Amino acid sequence: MDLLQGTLDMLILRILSSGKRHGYDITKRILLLSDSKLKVGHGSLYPALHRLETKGFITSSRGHTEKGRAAKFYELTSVGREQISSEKQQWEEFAAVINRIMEEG
Amino acid sequence: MIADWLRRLKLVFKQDRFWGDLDEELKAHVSLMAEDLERQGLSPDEATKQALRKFGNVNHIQEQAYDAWGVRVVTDLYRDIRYSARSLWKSKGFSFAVVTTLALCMGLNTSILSALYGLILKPLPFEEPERLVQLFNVPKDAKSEVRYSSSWPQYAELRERTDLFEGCAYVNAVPELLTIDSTSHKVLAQKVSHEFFDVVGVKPILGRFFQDDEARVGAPGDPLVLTQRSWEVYFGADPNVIGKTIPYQGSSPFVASKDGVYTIIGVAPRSMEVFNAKAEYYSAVKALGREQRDLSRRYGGGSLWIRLKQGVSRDMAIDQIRSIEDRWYKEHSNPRYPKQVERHEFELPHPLEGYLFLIEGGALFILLLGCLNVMTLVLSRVTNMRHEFSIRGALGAGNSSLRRLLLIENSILLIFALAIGWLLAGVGVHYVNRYVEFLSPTTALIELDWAIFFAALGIAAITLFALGVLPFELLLKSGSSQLVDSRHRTSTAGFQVKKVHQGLVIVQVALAFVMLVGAGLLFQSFRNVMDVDQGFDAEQVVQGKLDFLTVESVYNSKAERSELAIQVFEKMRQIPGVEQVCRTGVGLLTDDNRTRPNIFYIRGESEEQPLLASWVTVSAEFMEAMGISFVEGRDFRPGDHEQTVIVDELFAKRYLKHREALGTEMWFKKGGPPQGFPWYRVVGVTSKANLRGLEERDGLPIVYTLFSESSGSHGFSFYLRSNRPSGALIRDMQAKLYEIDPRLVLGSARSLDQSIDELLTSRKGITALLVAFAALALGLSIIGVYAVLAYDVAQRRREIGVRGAIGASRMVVMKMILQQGLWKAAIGLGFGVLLSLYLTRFLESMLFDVSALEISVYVVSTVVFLLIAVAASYVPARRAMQVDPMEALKEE
Repeated sequence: MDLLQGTLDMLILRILSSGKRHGYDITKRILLLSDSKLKVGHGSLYPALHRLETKGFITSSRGHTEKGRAAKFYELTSVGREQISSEKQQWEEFAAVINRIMEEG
Repeated sequence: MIADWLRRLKLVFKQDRFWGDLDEELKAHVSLMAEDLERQGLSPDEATKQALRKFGNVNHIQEQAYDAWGVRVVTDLYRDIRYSARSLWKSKGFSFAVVTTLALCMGLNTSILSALYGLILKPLPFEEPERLVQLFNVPKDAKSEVRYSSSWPQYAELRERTDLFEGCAYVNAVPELLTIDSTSHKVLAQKVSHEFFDVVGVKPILGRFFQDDEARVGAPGDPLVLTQRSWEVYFGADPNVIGKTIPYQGSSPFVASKDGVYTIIGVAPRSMEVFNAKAEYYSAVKALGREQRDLSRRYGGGSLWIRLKQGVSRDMAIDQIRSIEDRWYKEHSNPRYPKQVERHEFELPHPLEGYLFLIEGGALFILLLGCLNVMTLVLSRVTNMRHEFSIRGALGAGNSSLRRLLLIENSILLIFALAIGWLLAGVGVHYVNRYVEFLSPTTALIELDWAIFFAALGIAAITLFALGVLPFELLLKSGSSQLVDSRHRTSTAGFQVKKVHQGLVIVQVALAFVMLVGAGLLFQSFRNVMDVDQGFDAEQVVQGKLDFLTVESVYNSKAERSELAIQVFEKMRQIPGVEQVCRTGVGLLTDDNRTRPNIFYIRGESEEQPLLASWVTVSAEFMEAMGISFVEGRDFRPGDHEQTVIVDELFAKRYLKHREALGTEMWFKKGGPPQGFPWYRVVGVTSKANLRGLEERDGLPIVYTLFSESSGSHGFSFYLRSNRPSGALIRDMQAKLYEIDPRLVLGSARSLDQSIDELLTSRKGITALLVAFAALALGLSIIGVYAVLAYDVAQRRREIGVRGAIGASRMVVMKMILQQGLWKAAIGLGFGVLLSLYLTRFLESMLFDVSALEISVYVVSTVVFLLIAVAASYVPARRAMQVDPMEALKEE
């Protein structure tokens, strides 16, 4: 299943709300939480991360994985944390509208 | 928005790090993935391969991530700028022509408009300047712009009687000797009535201004207000300057005692410089000598500044002034002082006004030519770039990106033009100031006006962008197929462009022709003026002047003054190397207002119309010393009295055509002299001597009367003929005066040649300027003609190639192009002649012995123009000649 346009940013923010993660970790996490149903293309993950960073929702820092490999870690900023709730709300409204149309046709 | 762009700009400089980081990050991603795969049981090699495969196109991901940073706009801009700069550099000729044209137009117009604004249009820098006016008295016999300023009696009277002024003040500039720090400075003082600063409406920047009782006749103390400039220059802007004293030696007739001590009471702000930029301080008018006499009411001498009451119109005030003046003349109906003043005016005439508007007219012409030029150039360039545009379009560049490229190109040109134009404007203002000092010495120097410069810049920008982008839009409109298939060069769009082009060149040639004719007429006038026979021998003559006003308090009787005059005359004779000395009542070769026309009537002829002549009193030696020859009759000789006169040739021609000149009698009032007085009687006729400058040749006839010691009430000028250098002679003259009385001041000392030169300064200036304008206009039209033809040749390479292939010789091709250039020039010239016939009438007042329709000027201008058209067509024609038919056809 492909991701809906515009939802990736929201998912990334939500996943980062549980703590620092690197890019690969984020893809794995999305895969895991969606029972491998949602596939995030690498072509969209990194642009999304950089976009979020330039918007100031997340910051990046260098760090090491448990196994000691150097990687870039992403982390929510306070602005980003606020953004999650507004995105979530927007999403719920959006989903509700879509549902209503799909059910009542 | 701005913050966003700043961030992007910052990121541009961090680009290297960005790419490094991204690379590292992606590598980490792949190897983490590979590790996981390994854990699932794959061999390390296999795991890496599979991870890479799964990851996809690294470059693509990198590009996308880069886009997400939003830096691309900035780097693209940078790339476009570099590209445009390179492409402009490639067509150096075009870039140079556009930048020069724009810079010249901006610089020229900014400096001249700055002058126009600074000297004429700028309102006075005071509160409600529209209520502040200066009074002028216009004499009855004034034909042109003769106006007298005001006088103390008039001031006193008006202040007393009018109820329409909020205030009125008297100002007069006089030189004085000040002693500051034991050095003497000859400085210009503004003698003012006490209310001056209130009328103007300024506050002192230090101390206070005059009080009512300080400026009264006989009031104790000599208060002085410094100008800001002299406060800075002489006292280093010392804040404790108030109360300091300055000894002075008054050469002024308005100071009661000869010497005295000023006490500084205040400092006036710099804005006061508009009244007289050279004045160093203000002091109060106190004792008035001759100023108080009613006679001086006619001559003025000082100026009267008036602040009208709120709501009082200028006309109302003038009406009231007129009725007050009329009443005064009725009450004082003294036949010796007939009413001479006809009207009163408030306008401030400016000596430079006429010139400046003429010059700005020229500058606007240049601006127009410049715009046309830029239009032609840009049009050529855009059409020439069609091929490149089509390639870029085919490669995927949208119209917007092409438009952007054009905008960037034009911006670069504009920035260069801006820099050079600014420099040129500075140079222009420098030269304008040199003239201002000459023509109107009390005017403050002009400053470059920023607002005007930016207005000029705005015009340039609009021209450039409108013209830079418009042709492109036209091209777009004419169909994108045109853009893509650039080979159809002679298509309809090309044809349209060509028509516009031809129109532009014709207009340009016409305008430049007008400038050329104007410059030609002025230049011819200048030559004619220079060819005028001076009528007397001005070489090796040095003049000096003694103004009785400056010594009136010492030599206060007529007898004393005539004694002084004789003494001066004798002393001057004693100077070594002096061959001849003579005297006149008025200075020669000046615009001295005392040489204004006198009226008179000839005995036995109709007295309906008074006749006009300039009456000059001279000493008996004058004719001989000045080398003036006699047409008939004799020179003055001992025994002649004040009523013996000699007239010049012009007088005889104008007034004595039908009668014997010698023996003619005249008087300056109707009905002849009173009983017992002799008539003025002509004893000789001299050749015409242009005593007031070469341009006065056809002005007023001259009547010479004998200088008597009692006739020089104002002072006199003396002339020394000697073959010694004028500088040394002037030093001797000063020394001789000093021997008589150390307080005597030598005035207007200079050689007559110098005076003649100075009288020609303004004509020289304006002629030089117009010639320069015409040269510029010619230059611009050369560029225009060249650009059009060069464009045309480039467009028609194929046609020329075909012509060559079917046997047209090179000469035929060259002739064809030359003919085209000449045709355009000829049509332009036709319009130019018509336009000149109309426009040169505005030059008429500047012309001398030249008709505005002078054929020779038109002929020479036409020939010059045709030659230039040939020259401008030659290069493109040669290029056409060198087109190799094979090459041209192969290219297509």
